[in-house]
Amino acid sequence: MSFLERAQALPSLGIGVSTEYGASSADGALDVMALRRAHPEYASFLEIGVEISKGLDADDRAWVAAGGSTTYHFLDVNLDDPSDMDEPWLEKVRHTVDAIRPAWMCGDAGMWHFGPRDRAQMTLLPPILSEDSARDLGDGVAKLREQVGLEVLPENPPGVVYLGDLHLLDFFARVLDRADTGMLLDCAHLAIYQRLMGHSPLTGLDAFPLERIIELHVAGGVERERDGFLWVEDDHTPEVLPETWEIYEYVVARARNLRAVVFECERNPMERCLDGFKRIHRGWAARDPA
Amino acid sequence: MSHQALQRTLVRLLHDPTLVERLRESGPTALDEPELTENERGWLAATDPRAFQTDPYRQGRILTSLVEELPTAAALAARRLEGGLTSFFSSEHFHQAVRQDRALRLAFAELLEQTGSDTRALVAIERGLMQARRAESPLEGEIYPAHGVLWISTPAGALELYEALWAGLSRTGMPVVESVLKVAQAPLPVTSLDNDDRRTLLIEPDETGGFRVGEIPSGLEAILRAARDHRSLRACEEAAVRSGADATEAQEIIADLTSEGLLVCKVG
Repeated sequence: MSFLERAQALPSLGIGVSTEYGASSADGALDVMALRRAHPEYASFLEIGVEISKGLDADDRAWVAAGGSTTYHFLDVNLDDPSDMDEPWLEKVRHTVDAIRPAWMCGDAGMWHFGPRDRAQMTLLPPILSEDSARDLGDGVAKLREQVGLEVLPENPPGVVYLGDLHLLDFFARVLDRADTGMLLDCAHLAIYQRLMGHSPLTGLDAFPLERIIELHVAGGVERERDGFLWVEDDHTPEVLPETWEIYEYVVARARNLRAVVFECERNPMERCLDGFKRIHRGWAARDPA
Repeated sequence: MSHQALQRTLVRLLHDPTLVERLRESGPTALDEPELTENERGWLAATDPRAFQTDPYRQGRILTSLVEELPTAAALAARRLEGGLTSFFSSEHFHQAVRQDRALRLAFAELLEQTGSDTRALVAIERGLMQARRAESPLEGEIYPAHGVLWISTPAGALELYEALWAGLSRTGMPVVESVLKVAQAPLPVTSLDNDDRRTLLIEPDETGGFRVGEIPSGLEAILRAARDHRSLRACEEAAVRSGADATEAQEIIADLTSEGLLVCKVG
């Protein structure tokens, strides 16, 4: 069965929020349970960022215990390296999947660690945007899907240095085709890439297989400068760049298999995030789903 | 797999400003990466060098993790390394570790132990602690060392030096990394250790979730070694007897080691 056929069985999760170990315990962090009580339409599911060595935190467990829907966002696997999906890691992943019962797995398809999975060596770098890298990444996505029994949606990672001869969207189109899978398009990460490369926000989207986009991320970013070099830091504040909104509004209206949107604002108080949620909701509610 | 070599090269550039400078001055030959294709070298050369240096905290984050693994050796070695502890990132130890997908903490240990026989002895202890913290799932057999129990050989005086440095770090009342940097501000004496006079140090879990280090006699090491290598009660008893115990004493010693949590015994 092709991915587009399999996608019909994926649940429509709506709008949700993301978290990772310990994020909710920081001062001023978003209280997802409070958001759910006050604005259930903005907290239909929780995307749980999982680094296997850290596990799940108490808030993750509380959400699951309350019957909340989840997705599993991995934070520790280099999908383009088959040896990284070793059996001890996979066993713990399956255990976590059993605990949180996610609708699917997703996560930045880049380098999460160099060398061994050691604390000093955890990082996040975008993939090399080349043909051979797309092939290996696609094979890794398919392998993880087979091993875990869930759809695996690669996400375009953020970055300041992108190497390779393919546009990021052309690269991911190849990955999706190779793995026959869907995608988590991070609108903020794409906006960062487009600005860094001197492209307009929507460059490449006209030729991208939007029907494979299952999930979108929206997040704030801040412009930085060092020695005259300008870039955007993906800082997950509620201040979303205009280009990110432009990408979101273009894609949400056209991605006919879209199932979920996450507003990544986990370290900010609810009141500061409501305008962003409202705008996301406007786009979500106006779409014409398949 | 060339794209993975390119990723590793990018990691090296992101962490080592001196390599970025060499790339800027001399082009991709400065990278010493024979695996890269001409295209890949071209992509690196075409990248704005400032893009590699947008994160001023990158070295600090990694160094924090590394110093927490090797606090006493780092405190002692800091002033002996030209450029201090951050010189690790421009060292061949760092670059080789990234190229070979090795653990940075082991490469950092190798850099530190080059600064003297005293740091070498401290690294031996702290490397043992790293190993104990990462001990795999428990062994199997009728008798074996408990999870996280291991032993190392060091020169006489190493444990005393280690304990003295730990006491100095603790006295600052600061978190580990800050205490190391503070202690390292003052020049620490070089301690001469006699490599021919060896002692066995035992590393074992303590009650706080950490590990303690203490000296043990050679006879005890022989029993632990027999348990690890042979997993048989008889081999442990024979090791005890070879070390001078009689048969009854051998059984008592092994029972004591089991009740103290150093050995796990699955038979009567």
